[in-house]
Formats: sequence, C-alpha cells, structure tokens
Amino acid sequence: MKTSPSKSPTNLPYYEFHLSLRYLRSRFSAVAALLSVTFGVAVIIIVLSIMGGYIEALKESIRGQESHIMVMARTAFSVKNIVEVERLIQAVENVEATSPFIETLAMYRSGQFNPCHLRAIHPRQETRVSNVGEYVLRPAELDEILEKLAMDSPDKGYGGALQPSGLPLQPTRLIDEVLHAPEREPLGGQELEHFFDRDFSRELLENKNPSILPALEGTIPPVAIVGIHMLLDRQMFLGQVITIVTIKPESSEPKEERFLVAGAFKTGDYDADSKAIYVHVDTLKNMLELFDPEANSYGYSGIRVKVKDISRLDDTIEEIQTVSFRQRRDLRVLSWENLRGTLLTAVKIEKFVIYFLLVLLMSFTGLMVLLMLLLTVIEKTRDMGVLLSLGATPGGVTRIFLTGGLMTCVAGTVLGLLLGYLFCWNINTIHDWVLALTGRELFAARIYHMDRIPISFQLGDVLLSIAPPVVLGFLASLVPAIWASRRDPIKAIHYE
Amino acid sequence: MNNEVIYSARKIIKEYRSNRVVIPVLKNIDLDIHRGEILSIVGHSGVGKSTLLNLLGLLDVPTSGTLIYHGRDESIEGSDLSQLKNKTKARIRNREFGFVFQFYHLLPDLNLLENVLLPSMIFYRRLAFRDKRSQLEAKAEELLQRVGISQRKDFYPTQLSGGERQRAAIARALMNDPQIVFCDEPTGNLDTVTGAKIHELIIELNKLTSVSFILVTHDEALSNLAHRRLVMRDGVFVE
Repeated sequence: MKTSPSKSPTNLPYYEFHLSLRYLRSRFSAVAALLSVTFGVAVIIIVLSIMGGYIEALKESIRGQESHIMVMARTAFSVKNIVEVERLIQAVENVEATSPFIETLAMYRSGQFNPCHLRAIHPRQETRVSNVGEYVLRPAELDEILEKLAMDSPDKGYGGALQPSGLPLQPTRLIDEVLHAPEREPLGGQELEHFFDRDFSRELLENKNPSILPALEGTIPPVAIVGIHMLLDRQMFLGQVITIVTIKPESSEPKEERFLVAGAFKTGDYDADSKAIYVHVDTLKNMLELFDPEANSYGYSGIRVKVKDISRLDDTIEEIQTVSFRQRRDLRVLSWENLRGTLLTAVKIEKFVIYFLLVLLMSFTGLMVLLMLLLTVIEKTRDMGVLLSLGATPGGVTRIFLTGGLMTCVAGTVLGLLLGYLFCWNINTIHDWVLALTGRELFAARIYHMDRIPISFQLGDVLLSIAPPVVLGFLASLVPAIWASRRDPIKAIHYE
Repeated sequence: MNNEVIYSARKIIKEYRSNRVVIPVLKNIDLDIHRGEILSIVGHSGVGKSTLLNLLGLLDVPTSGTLIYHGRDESIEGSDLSQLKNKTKARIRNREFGFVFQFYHLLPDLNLLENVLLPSMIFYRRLAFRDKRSQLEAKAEELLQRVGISQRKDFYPTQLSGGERQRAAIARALMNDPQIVFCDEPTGNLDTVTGAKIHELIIELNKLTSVSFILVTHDEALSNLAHRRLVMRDGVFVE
C-alpha cells in the first residue's frame, strides 16, 4: 500500500468526493442552494443579454438611420454650395457615397395637431448612404399588410384581425416578417424616387382617396413617407392629404403645406417610426425658403456620408474635416456614435450598474450555500469525528464540504445558463403570452424605442454571469469547510 | 496470544487545565500491549479509562510520557508516536488501529458495505480505489459474513438493530487489517443477550486473527473473558 503525494482531484482519497456527493443527495437545503444559484445565474444572463441586445439594436438602428458620418454646420440650414462640398468629400479616398439632407421639427394636422420630425432626403442618393431602402415598404407590400390588418380602407378600424391561433395579430411582427424576409432586396434609388413621381401620386389618390380629388382642383400635393406607427395608430391613412406646418428660419413665420401620405417605413426605432416623416429635399428647401441670394445657393442641414471601410472611420473623419475646412470653417464632422453617444453611454452605464446590483443580490445566493453547508456540518459533526478517528485528515474533511459547495455552484451555474438561454431564445414568445394572458405590455415599445425585445449573447456576458456564483460559492464553502475540519474528534464522537 | 510487545506506553500523564486549576486524569501510567491479546480495562466512570484509550489511539496527546509502537511501518519504529505529525498519526490510525465505539458511529449516509469499506476509502486514492474496488468489496463482504450480517450489506444503519450495527462497526474496524482494535464500551449500549453475542464475536475474531483487542468497559462479564484485566482507579492501575 503506497500513497502518492500528488494532489490532483482524481488522486485525492476516495472518500472525499464520495461523501460530498452523498451529503448533497436528497437534502432539501442542497436543492434550495442549487436553485438559488440557478436562478441567480439565469437572471444575470437574461438581464445582460437583454441589455446587450438593446445596445446592439440601438447601435444598429442609429447606424441605419444616420449613416456613418454626418457633415453639418454649426447653425441650422447653413451648409451651402452643396454640390461643391459634396464633391470635396467624395474626393476623400475612403468615402463611398454622400447625400444632402434637411431636417426640421414640424407639426402635422390630421384631425388635430401632432409634432413630427421632417426628414428631407434626396431619394436616389440617400439609398446609397443609409438603410432607408431596407425600411421603406414597397407599395404592394404595404397594401398587403394593411389588408391583412383590415386597415385597407379608412372606414375600417384596426383591431379585429386575428392570427390563425386566435391571438390578436401583432402588426409589428407582420411587418418585420416582410421587411426582414431573407429574399427581400432593399429598395434602390430609382424605386425610392418613384414614390415622388407625380403619376404615382395621382394613381394613389384615385385608388385610395378619390373623394379628395375635386377639392385639390387638379393639383397633386408633394409626397410624404410616414413612420408606420402613424398608420397603425390611425393618425392618418394611406392616400390621405395632411397639412404640415413648420417655421421658416429666415422670417420665423409659420409655413403650411399639404402633403400626400404615399408610403410608410419601419426602422424598429419606435421614436422614429411614430414621429418621422420623409419628404423630398427639393420640396422642403422651397417650403422653408432656404435660398440664399448672396451665396446664390440653397442652405442644407448637412451631408450624410458612407465610408467603404468602417474600421478607418476615425481617419476618414479627420480627412473630411481637413478638406471641408478649406471650404467652410464652421463645418462639423461627426460619426454616428457622436450623434447619439450620450444615449449609448447611458445605456452602457446602466448595464454595468444593473450587473453590479445583481452581483450584490447574488451574495444572498452565497449565503444560501453557506447556510446549506453549515447545516450539513452541524448535522455531520459526529461523522467528521468518526472520519478523523478512522484516519481522515483535516484537509480531507475540508475538501468534503468545499467540493460539495463548489459542485452545487457549478451545477447551479450550468443549469442557470441553460435556463437563461432557453428564456432568452423564447423571450418574445413569453412576452406575447403574458400580453395575451394579462393584457399588460412588459416591454413597452414607446419607452424602449423598440417593438421586439432584442437579445444578444456575448462570451463576456457569460463569463460575467459565471464569475459571481463560482467566486461567492467558493468563499461561502470555505468557512463551513474549515470549521468542519477544526472540530475535535473526541468531542465529536462523544456527541450523541 | 504470545508475549511479543507491540505497543508500550511509559509514564503517561494527562492533565486538563481549566481556569488555572490543573486536573490530573492519568497519573504515570505504564502499559504494554502484547500481540494478539484481549486486554480489558475496567473501572468506574471518570477514572480515565476513555482518556487512556484516546491517547493510545492517537486521538489525543498526553501531557507527558512516551508511546512506542512496533508495527508494520518501519519508518516510525522506535519513535514516540505522540510526537509525530498529525498526518502520520492519521495514517497510523487508518492502517494500524481499528476503533469500535459505544454508539457504533456508522455513517448514516452510507450503507453497511460502504461503511465497512470506509477505512479503505480513506486509505486509497480515487483511481487506486476504483482499480481495487471489486477486491475490496469482496473483502468487506467477507468481514460482514464473519460478523454474521452479510445479508444486510445493502441496508442503511438506521434500518438495523443495535447489535447488528455494532457487528458492522467491528467489521469496519478490521477492514484495513489493523494490529490493535480499541473498543470503548462496545456493549455499553446493548442488552445483556446481545452484549454476550458481541463478546463471543470478539473472542472468535481474536482467535481467527492475531489482532489485539483493548476493551474499555464496566461490563464485568466482558472483562472476565479477556486474557488480561486491569482495574483503574483515580488515574492509576490498581491490580
């Protein structure tokens, strides 16, 4: 009989692992500790995945709407000689495309006045710099959706349409299925330009809203493509002629213009989808009277730029800064992250704070493991005395409980990760379920700017979820384990 | 039984201190244990019998005195056991000694076979134990058969009577082929008839093996069956 000095887990005396397993078996306290670790880990992974997904989706939606770089002036509507500035920027090596834009706040009237965000774009150029082509629904697609939702005529109200399963039809999901269908090609510049075609507008009016034609006296109003929620919330209908009021920057006088609701888009950003309206840049620049006779050119809000290689974004920004500086000293060059940076930073800080709070909560899990092991140690005091008298070492006794605690934590962590992943994978189904059962929306689109709960799994998040239970579990096991090994075998044996 | 001395205690003194008052428990004890003998130590409660047994079994350390052991382990030959490192003491307890307690002290989470195997589980490392498992289990079953409860090997201690539990405890004490088995009131918790059967078992096992049994008891019947009988009073042997 030879003993080996090696301390690898397979080479520890047999009784240690055998007994730590036996002590966990069918003990209520062990099950309670296991479950508390499981739920703790599951909650951390779920929260981190949702927060991570939210940050990802936020970035994606900002990037999609804003393009990589924005060149803007310090004062509104003052980027003049637009063609020349664009040409300068296009000469920068990493620049792929540019597109001018005008943005302003406005009110639209449809029954009552509502605020909106006017985004004037050059349709052909815009599709090359932003994701607008992915967001705008083709006329046929929109018709089909509105028909499914029983909203194809202004007299019908949405709300009655049901899924085959009997649950209320989720309009946003229906639209996402169309927009995110794998075979769907984003709209090209020509297709987007077609919306602003007079023949298209006339046809639309004749089909959807013929009663308005006499009042228009042969004129066709310019086209507006509106956020999908304005249609879904029945603020307006397809083919409706709405009035948009805004302020002219030069004279500060209100200016009113009629627009034809000719299409709809969905970015996934609830704010944009319920407030933004796309119009043609030429329409808005005339409506706002942005012509500056002195410069003999129109003033724009700025220019959107798309780069070829996103990893060289910072260098490209610097180059654009240099070339545009020659033209105008008050131009600012911003990346998409600069524009909404505070929001992103706030969400990231929030993620960290929530994680920190969850780890604090996890210390209760550590306490559960501690209590479970303390109970076992108290219950097994006599056993420890017997083991010591039969030749077990204090180190071995320590390891019985340490192994027990760690096994509980590891098993709980694995179960927790599984539970967390299962939950995350089905989170939107669960959400719809709760919605159908209670009528309560857990993830309100209008608060989170998103209409689906986004999920993102990252290795870092998994490690962050695993670390607290393992570390806390180890620390929580250490105290009872050492305590158990310090017991006096004689007293323990005579303890009956 | 022969006259070969395997364990000798010399000038053993054990004192307890509480609040600067010294309470002497063992006063200068000399004792030789012969190979294969049954030695009984009798005396009233509190005379120091169990303390002596704990010292001999290396569960406690004497205040002074030496313990010289002549066993199979040559590395400790001639050295004072009470001065050894805890780890070495644990090894001697595991390999050379066996223990039988008044309250049996079987582990309730293990079945009888596993309880008997426990000393070998402590001795062998995981891999070695797995390799020898069938061999060791056969040995444990044989021991259970010898103490007459092999049909109960899958039972848990709570399902057994006191006599059966004590038989299992004796089998456990013999698992690692010890030289000396220390029994602290082995029949103290049993009725007379069951106790007598345990006596017979100890005598039978002693005849079959050359293991020495040290019995601390105040059971007159048991002490009279021993080869040698020592009476203790106030921390010393009186006859």
